[in-house]
Amino acid sequence: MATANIGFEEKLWSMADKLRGSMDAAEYKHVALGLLFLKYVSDAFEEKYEALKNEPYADPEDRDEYVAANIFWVPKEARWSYIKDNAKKPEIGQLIDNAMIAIEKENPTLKGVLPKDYARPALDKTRLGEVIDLFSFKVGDEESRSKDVLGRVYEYFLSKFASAEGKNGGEFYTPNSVVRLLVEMIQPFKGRVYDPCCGSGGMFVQSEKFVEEHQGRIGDIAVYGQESNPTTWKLCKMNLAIRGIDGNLGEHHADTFHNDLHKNLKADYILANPPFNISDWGGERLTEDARWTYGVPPAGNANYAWIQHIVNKLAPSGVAGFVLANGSMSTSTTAEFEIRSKLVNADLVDCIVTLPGQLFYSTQIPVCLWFIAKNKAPKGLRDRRGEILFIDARKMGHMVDRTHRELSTEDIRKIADTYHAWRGQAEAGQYEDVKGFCKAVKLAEVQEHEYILTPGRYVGIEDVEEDSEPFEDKMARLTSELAEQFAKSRQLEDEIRKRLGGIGFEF
Amino acid sequence: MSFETGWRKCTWGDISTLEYGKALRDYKDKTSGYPVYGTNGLIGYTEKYLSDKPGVIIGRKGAYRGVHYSNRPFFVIDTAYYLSPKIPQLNLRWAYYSLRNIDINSMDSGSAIPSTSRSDFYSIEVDLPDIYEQQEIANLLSVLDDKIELNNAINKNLEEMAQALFNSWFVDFEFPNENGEPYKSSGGEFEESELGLIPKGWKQGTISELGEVAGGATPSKKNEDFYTVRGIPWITPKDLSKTNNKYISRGEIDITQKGFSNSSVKLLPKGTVLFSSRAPIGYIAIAKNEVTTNQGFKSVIPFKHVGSEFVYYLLKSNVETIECRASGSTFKEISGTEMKRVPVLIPTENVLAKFNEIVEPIGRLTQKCEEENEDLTQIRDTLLPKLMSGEIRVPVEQDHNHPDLPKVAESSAIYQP
Repeated sequence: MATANIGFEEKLWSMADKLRGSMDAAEYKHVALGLLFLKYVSDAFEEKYEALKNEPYADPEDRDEYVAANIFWVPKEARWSYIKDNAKKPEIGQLIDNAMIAIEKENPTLKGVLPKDYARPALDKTRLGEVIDLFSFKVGDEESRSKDVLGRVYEYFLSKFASAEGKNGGEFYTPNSVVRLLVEMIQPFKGRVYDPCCGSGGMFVQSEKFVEEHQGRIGDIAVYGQESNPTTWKLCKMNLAIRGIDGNLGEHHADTFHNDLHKNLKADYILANPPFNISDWGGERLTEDARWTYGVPPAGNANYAWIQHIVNKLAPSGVAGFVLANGSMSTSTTAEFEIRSKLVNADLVDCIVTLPGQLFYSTQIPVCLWFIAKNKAPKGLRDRRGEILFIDARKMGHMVDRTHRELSTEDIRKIADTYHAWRGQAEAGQYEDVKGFCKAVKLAEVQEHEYILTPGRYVGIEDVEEDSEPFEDKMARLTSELAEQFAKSRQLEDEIRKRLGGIGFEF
Repeated sequence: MSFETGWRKCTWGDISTLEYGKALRDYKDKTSGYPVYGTNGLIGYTEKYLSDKPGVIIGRKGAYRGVHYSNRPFFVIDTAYYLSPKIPQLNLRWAYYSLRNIDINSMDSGSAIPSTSRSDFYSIEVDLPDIYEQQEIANLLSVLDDKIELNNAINKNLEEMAQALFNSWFVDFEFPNENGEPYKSSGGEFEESELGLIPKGWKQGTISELGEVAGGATPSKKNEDFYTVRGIPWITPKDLSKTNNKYISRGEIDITQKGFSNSSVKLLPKGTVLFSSRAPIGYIAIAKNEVTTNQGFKSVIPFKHVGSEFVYYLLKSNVETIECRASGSTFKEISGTEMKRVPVLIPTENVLAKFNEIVEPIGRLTQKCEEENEDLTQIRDTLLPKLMSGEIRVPVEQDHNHPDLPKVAESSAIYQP
């Protein structure tokens, strides 16, 4: 639960907020999250350390003991106890930098990822010390790990940063309920999972969680990602490392369109939340690309470039679920219309879901989910070729604060179950069209509607709830009220006449 | 202006104090209890009150800070004040009208959020008539307000009635058959159609079979002589956003004959049902006279046998269906072509005629009440400053045998919407 309170997020935030002074939120994020990371690996380490100390014949300084337990080996100078003892010293910044360097050195997957600029003069060392001092609760011991305290704190921080940074923040933070919905729908149980614009890695973390929840083995999933923003890319590395996910994010950050780091990848599952409607994606330099099977996307909007990139990266039996701005369902610009009609005719579009507005942290934009399936008649599922499922979920969700909406677990289940039932998954029950909510539509009908994929067109309007007041009763009530009103009206007319007459305006 | 009123010159601070409202939760969803006021008026209901008497609410924060009167105990949230009399000889309804005559919004304490400070308020001068005269002034103004409110209540009732009738006839198919009995319940015949089972003789059609769909346009804004105060009425969705009226004769600004000829604006006849096609979709009104509109409308000029009232209620109950056919991501808009294609049920002419026979007079009464309200509002607003300055004096009965003075305020009849 994104918003379920674990008690100390707010405290942690206000604590970290102490550091905020001369730096902007984007920079400060790395400082705060870096400390959190350090505390986490250290907690896990120190717990194991204590356990080993009490074990006969075990050496608490034996690196292999930790590696075997999937715990980061933390060198002496990076342990929280050491840092805490020195928190009040002026050189604390340097000490933290050294700790980060030491951890990177011992753990090659983190190379070049951790923030190492705590020593810079702009960072107030007294405050930094205070924050370390206050950081007394556990985030990385076994109990917290089992409750995923870190994940939740991390998520809380990321979302707070997204709110604090405004628009740019929102580019890499997909709200939890949207990720959960995507994951529940396409069920990436095992195989290659890919996110072409992975941001801080939210999609993977959720997928991994999903696998864990279903008692699968973490190793069943291979994770591929790419991210163009260097700081976000680092954040993603940290995010994955902390959860012990071994992901392939490429050697460095890179632009998915112009420097595809996973050229030969064919993914079984693709989950993505591409930035909405980006206009400066350099499309004019990419008019001839193998990925544009269904037409060259317009240079002025990357939505259809993302769609085709995703289709191109999908394995023959692959399923993709991704978030796009609503315009993508109905745009009529020549290039986009052509691509959309070809995608529909090629029977690639599996399902479209429109979501309510205000789900995102930094924009009110209403969005939709696209689901693409390469094989619409796979073994074990219903042959749904020539059919698209439309779901209108605009009325779902509830407000969690004045400006943000969230989908509940029930909402997510209802949508996912509908999709699964339609796909023919027996456990999800029997599929049925529900007026105002979902409809399975033949391609011919979509063609008739000029390939417009807006669910509202197809699912119709929910039957108006039967008026609880029968017609006869209602009319009886209204007419008797009206009789009183007419009587009162005459009385008021007389009084107005009298009063206006009183000041000399007889009529 | 100075008249020999003999009224007491004082300031609002001499006769009253402003009390702060209090923060409150969960008032928005409630529909009963004590009214809750904010800086712009009624915003919800709650179980407890802050003021145990009727009274005046004055906005404290916000660009627009209103003055409101509650005729029963009420709650005020922390963006507003309520007035507490310092002297017994202050009639709160009079105070309300007196404050309505002051431009509270021109006072600004100068902080980031426009707000009214208590000290600014206390220094405003006021001519205070004696309590009896206050009461008579308040009575005159409130009888006008009461009638306005009553007219609104009547219109709300009429609207509900017409809507109920429409639903009963055209959704539940309980229109009267030849014997005047409800069709469906009396075993009327039905036929299969794409829209489901429909009464025999009805057909499935589109909006274009009920009337002509017409758009609008905007004469060049650069050209000043295209616009005027009184010319050819020209209506925009914004005009409809500012009124709850069902009938409309003109918008905020008119266009000139020249503006009309130099643009693709279309003259729509009286009885045209205006339907806003964007920003947002679904404002509906009936034209009282010939009008033009901007491009934010896809209006329906009903065919004679169909009638404006039928089309009005039909569009009203189909707003969502129409919205679903809209395109555009940020701003949804319904095109003329799509509007024409909206599927609708077309009843027989006979049933249509019967419906219009009943609903047209209801519509005429609604129109009368709306027009009356415009007149009443004008009368009230014209009289208000003159009554407050003493230029017009109300007669006061000389017999003041009110043993129960001071009387702070009287509750007037409550018309619960």
